[in-house]
Amino acid sequence: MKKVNLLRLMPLLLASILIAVTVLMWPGVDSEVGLLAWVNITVMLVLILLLLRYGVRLLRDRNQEPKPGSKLRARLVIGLVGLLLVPAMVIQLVASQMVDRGMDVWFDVRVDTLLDRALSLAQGFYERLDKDMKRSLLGYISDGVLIAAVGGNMEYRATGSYLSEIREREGWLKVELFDLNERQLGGVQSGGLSSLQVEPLSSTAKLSMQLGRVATELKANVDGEVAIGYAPLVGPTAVVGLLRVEMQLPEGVIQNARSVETDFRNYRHLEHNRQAISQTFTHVMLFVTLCVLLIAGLVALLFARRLTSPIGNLADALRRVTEGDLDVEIRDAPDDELGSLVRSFNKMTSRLRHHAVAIDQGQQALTKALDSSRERQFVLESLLANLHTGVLLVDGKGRVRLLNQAVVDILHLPDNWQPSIDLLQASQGNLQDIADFYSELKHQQEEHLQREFDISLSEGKQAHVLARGARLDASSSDFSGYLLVIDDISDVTEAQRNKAWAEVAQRLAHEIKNPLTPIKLSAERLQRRFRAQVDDPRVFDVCTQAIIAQVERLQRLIADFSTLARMPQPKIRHVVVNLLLHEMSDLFCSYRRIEVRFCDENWQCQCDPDQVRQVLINLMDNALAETNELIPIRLYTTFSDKWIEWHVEDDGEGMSDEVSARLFEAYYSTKATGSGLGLAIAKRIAEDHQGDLLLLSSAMPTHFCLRLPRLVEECRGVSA
Amino acid sequence: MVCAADKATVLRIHIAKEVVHCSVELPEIDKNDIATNLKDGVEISAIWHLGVVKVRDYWLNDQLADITVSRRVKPDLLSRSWQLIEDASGISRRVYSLDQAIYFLSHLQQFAVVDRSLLAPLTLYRMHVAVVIHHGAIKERWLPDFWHSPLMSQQQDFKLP
Repeated sequence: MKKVNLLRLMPLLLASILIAVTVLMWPGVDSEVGLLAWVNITVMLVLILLLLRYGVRLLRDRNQEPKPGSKLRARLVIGLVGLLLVPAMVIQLVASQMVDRGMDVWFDVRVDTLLDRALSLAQGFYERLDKDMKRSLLGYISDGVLIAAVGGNMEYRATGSYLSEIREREGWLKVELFDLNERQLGGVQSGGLSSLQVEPLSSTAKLSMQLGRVATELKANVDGEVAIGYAPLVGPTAVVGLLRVEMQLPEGVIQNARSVETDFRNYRHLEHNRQAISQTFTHVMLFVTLCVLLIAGLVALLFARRLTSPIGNLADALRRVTEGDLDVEIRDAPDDELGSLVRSFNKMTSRLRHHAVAIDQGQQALTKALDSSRERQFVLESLLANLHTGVLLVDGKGRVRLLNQAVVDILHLPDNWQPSIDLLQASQGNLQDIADFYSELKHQQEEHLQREFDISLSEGKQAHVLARGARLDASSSDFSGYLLVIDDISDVTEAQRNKAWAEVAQRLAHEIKNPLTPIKLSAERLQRRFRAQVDDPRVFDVCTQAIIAQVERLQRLIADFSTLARMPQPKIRHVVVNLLLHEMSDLFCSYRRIEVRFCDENWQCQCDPDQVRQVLINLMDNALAETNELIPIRLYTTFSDKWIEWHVEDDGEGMSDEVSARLFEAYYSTKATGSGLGLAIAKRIAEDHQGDLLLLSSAMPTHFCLRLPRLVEECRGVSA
Repeated sequence: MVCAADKATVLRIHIAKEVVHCSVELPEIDKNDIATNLKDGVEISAIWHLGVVKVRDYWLNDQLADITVSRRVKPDLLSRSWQLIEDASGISRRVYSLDQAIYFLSHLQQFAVVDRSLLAPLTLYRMHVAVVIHHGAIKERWLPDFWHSPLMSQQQDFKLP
C-alpha cells in the first residue's frame, strides 16, 4: 500500500480542527451573541467544506502524479497560514483570559455592594420623603376647614387663603382641593398656577378617595420630578373630598439618585449579560482571526501561485521534453531569477530541437545506409548459401569469420565449426591440408595461392578439392584477413580420368585388337596343321592353347575397354520388373542357392532392359564367385513412388573397408583374371539411368543396390 | 363562545358577537428570572405576535390578521414601583406589586384579534400566537430578530358557527 503523504492529509486535519472549533463555538438556544456567532459559524462551515473538498480530492488523486509546483504551493500556503495561525490563536487565548480577568474585576463584589448601598441610600431618601409627605397629609384628613370648604360652607377666597397657608406651612409646591365629584374647589401653587386647565385625578387619587387612605406617587415633568400626595378628607360618616399636594423634589439629590439608579440598572444589566459579553468578545476575536486567516490564505495562495507558476510551467515543460516533445516554449517569463531560468530553458530546448533534427537526419542517413548494407549482406549471404563453392573468411588472427554451407558439405566439417573458431586449431587431423594451405597463404609473399589436394572424409570417403586463397588487405576496407575458396573437384577429376582412360582404352583397343585376331587364327592354324608333325604334341597343345587363351583374354579385355570407352546410351522403354526377374531366375536356375523373389506383376519402370540385365548379371556373377556353394544369394526388388531398387545380397564374408572404398574404380579387381571394369561399367550404367549403384553393406550380408528412377524422362527433365 | 381546548392549551379563542378575542398565558415563563431582572432594574418586554389565517388545502394559507403587541415593564428602583407600558396604545400604569408586573407580561386577556365580519361561517381558520421575551431596552434594529426563538408558539383552528 502506498504511503499517504502527510501534506495530503493536512487539509483534512485542518478541517477536523475547524469542525471541533465549530462544535465548541456553536451558539446555544438562549445565546445572546446573535449575528456575529452565526457569521463565524458560516465562515467556518464554508472553510470546512472547502478544506474537505480539497482534502478528498488530494486523497483521491494520491496515486497520480501531482501537478508541477503544487507541492511547493501547498507548502508555501500552509507555511504562511501557519505563521499567522499560531500567533493569532495565542493572541485570542491571551485576550480571552484578559477579558475574563477584566470581567472579574468589573463585576467585583465590592462594586456590587457599593451600588447596592448607593441605591439603598437613594431609595431611603425617597422613602423618607414619602413618609414625611404621608405624615403631613394625615394631619389634614380631618381638617375641619377643608371639610367645610368641601361641603360648600366656605368662600372660595377663604379656601384659597387656607390652602396657601397650608402650602407655605408645609413647603409644598402645589395644593389643590377636590370634592367627591373630582371637581376642583380650590388650588394654590408656588409662583401662581401654571395652567388654568385642571389636571384630572389619577387612578391613585381615585383609589385614595375610595379607600380613604393617604397615597403618594411620583411624577416627572419639565421642571423635574415631583412627589404627589393624596389625602382623603373624611367627614363624619364618609370621605367627602380629596386634598392633592405636590412637592418639588430637590433637583440635585434627585439627579444623583436617578443617576445611582441608572448606574445600578446598567450594572445589573451588564452583569446579567456577562456571559453574553464574554461570548461576544470571543466571537469578535474569532471573527477577526478568521478574517485574518482568510486574507492571509488568499494572499498566500496568490503569492504562492505567482511564485510557483513559472516553476510549474518549467516542470510541465520539462515533463513534455522528457516525453519527447521538444517544441515546448514557455512564453510568460517574469523579470527575475525565475525568468532567467525560463529563458535559459527556452534556449536549451531550442538547441535540443536543432540537435534532434540533425540527429534525425543522421539517423535517416544511417538507416538508409544500414538498409543498403543489409541488402548487400542479404545478397551476399544468399549468394554464399546457394554457392556450391565453399567459402571461408578468416581474419588476421586466424579466426573464421564466415563460412557457408557449401564448405561444410564439401569438407564434412563438424558442428563446432562456427564463426570465431580458430582455423589452425580446428583443422587438425584429416583437415591438416586446409591448415597447411592457410599457413602457406599467410606466410607467402604473393597475394593469391591455389592448390589441389585430397582430403580424407568420414566413412572412408575422399574428396579431391581445389583450394584458392587470397589475402584481403585492410587498405581497401576495414577488414584484413584471408579468403579461402574451396571446390570439390572429385567428379571433375574422375571424369577427366575416365575420359583419359577411355582415350587410352580406345587407342589400346584400336592398336591391340587388330593383331589379336591373326594371332589367334595363326595359333589355331598351327594347332591344326602342325600338331601331327611335332615330337611332343602335348607340349605343343599346351603352348598353342595358351596362346589362344591369352589372345581371347586380351580380346575380352579389349572389348571391355571398348565398352568403357564407348558406352552406348541406354535405350529407355517400359519394362515389367517381374519379367526381368523371371529372366534372371531362368538364367541362374542351375544354382540352387540363388533365391529370386518375384514382385507384383504390375510393377513397371523405365530403363534399358539389356543394360539392367547386364548389371544384374555382373552383380550375381560377383556374388557367385566370391562365396562358396553353401552361401545363399538373394535377388529381389523394392518399389517406391520415385525409385525401383534391385537388391543383390549374399551372406558371405564380404570385403574389407579398403576394398569397398575402391570397389567402383575402373581397373581395380580382386580377381586374378578380372579386368576390374565390371562394377565400373555397372555404376556408369546406373548413372546413365539417373540412378546409382550402392554398396549398402560390405559384409554379412554383402548388399548391393541398383537404384533406378521409375520415370527416367522426368529425371532427365529435372537434370536438364 | 369559547372554542374547545384541552388543559395544556394556553391559547383560548373567544368568538364574541362582533369580534374574535383570544386569551393567552405563558405557563413556561420563568417568574424567578423575570423577578430577578425586574428587581435589578432590567426592563422586560413581551412581544406577542398574533395572527389569523384562512386554512387552504392546496395553497398557502390566506392571512387575514397579523398583530404585534408589545408589553413592557419598566422598573423604578427608587420608588420600588413598576411601570406597565403597552407600546401600541401608549397606556401605562404604575404598580407596586411584582406579581402584577409579571402577570402583565405573561397574560393577554380578551385581546381582540379580528373583526368577525372578515370571517365566513363554517370556514376553517387558524389562529397562531408566538411570544418573545426581551431583556433590556428594545433598540431599533436594521435586521429582524431572527435568532430569538419564541418562548411560546401555539396555534389553534376555529370556525365560526
